[in-house]
Amino acid sequence: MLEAVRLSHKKQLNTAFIIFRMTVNNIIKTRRTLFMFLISSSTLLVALLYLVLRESDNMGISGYAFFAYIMGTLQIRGILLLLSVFYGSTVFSDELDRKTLVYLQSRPVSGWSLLLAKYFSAFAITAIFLVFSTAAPYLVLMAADSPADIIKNLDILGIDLLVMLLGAAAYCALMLMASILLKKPVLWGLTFTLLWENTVVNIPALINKFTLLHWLQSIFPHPAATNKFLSLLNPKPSSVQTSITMLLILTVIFILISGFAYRKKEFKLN
Amino acid sequence: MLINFENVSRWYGEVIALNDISINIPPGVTGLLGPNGAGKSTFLNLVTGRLKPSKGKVRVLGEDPRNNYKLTRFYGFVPEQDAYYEKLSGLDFMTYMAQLHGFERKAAKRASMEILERHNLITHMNKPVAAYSKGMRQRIKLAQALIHDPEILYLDEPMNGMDPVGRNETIDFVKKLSSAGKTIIVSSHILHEVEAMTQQIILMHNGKILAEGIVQEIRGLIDEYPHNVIIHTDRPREMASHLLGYDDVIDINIDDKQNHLKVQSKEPEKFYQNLVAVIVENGFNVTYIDSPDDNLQSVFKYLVK
Repeated sequence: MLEAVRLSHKKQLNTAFIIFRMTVNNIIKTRRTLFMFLISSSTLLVALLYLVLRESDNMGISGYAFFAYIMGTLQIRGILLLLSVFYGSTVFSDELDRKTLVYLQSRPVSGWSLLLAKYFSAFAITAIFLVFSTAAPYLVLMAADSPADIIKNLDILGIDLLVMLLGAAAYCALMLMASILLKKPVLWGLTFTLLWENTVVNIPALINKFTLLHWLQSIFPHPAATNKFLSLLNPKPSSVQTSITMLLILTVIFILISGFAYRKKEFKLN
Repeated sequence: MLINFENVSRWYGEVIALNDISINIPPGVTGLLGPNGAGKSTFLNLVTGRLKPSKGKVRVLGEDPRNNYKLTRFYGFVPEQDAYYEKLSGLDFMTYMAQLHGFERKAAKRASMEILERHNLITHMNKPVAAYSKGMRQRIKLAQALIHDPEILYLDEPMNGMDPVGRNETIDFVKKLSSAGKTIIVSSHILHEVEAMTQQIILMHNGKILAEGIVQEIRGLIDEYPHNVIIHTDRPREMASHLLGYDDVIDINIDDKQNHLKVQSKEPEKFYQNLVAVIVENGFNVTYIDSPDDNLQSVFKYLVK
């Protein structure tokens, strides 16, 4: 009887797509998503605040420079990390916490399909918010200088979006792995990203290469914010090509580890 | 044999959940009976491949079920946990489950509506599962396991928290599936529930199989011990006064603060029939019914001695 059942790659892709839709459908109805929307709106709010202050205080900083400041502070070291940590880790751990994984495990769905569907759900939602939190302040701040700047600086926006998408891909993969291997992945993820990443990235020589943030900042077109003491260490960026390659390789490694760990691990619900 | 256990043991750390079990389960309905902690859920986790044995071999349809997602086409599983995708509507949940079994979207929706209709959930299909009553949640849990018309059905404590009407419906449903040639393994800690579905019983206690297929023998033993039923209702005292009129009721304890009453009956089947009548005739609002396994524990103590 079993020989008759062969699940083709196409069918597995199809089931992965169904889990993807189901996960996204479920995630967008949660309060967490409203909270994440507020967080990702903070760049736009800061940009609007800048416009108000510029009108009244005659600030000497251009819209372009302020956009670079927002990207280097709020976006790459805050919003990117928070969104990736929350969605990357909860997209799978929610199934365990809710005890709903059993419904997926009792369907003809391979572990790889399940994990890839979960990964891309987290990535897609994180990416949508990041595109919004990058593009919205860009439009507001460039238009404040001159509407023509919106077109003129599109290459900068393109690089920013690339950095955000690569960052989301890598951090979501890392957090997916964490959610399979560790308990309390959100706590672990926040500690790792906010403490380890934000500190170690400033240490020169080889050490800062043990952070994803190093590879992202090497592609980043704006000066990254850091405190004065750490900036004295003057860490050197890697080449753009190396950085993109490293980020993609690390993403694949994290997903592969997640897949093997999932197959090995037993998820006992009671 | 559909399911085969060969010297299977499973432990969690130093706790033994299953202890050197060898058993063949034939087609038909098999009741997995034992008190809480007997190893019933571990047994079902092993046959569904979510756990692997620490020792021994488990085979389902001749295959190792561990990480064998192809086997899932042949079985449906009703977990014990009250776990759902709360934000999804009943119809969406069922449609996704059907699609994961290879149904096209339209066919999945059609099949889902048919099965929701069969389980009296069609009028609530567009509501999120979070808004379902306890009984409705149990019914949709059963429905999702049947969406692909599996050969084998595993039911882990399927009647926990169901009202008497829901229990009777589930029992009838299992009987119907059985007469349609399905193989069903149902775990429970309540003898009379299992007995109403099958005579083929596996008695489990402390991770071991004490006996197989001896329902009549333990029936006699169980009748010596009163059967406990806990009922949560809006008017516990009034319900108690109605129930005390029946011969089978030995004792009733009322807890006004928690709005529940604990009834001891020497004839559980008769008691449940009478209880349905009392609820319907007097319009009681019953939110929860449970049968703790005190009496079964007593029987197991006796058997183990």
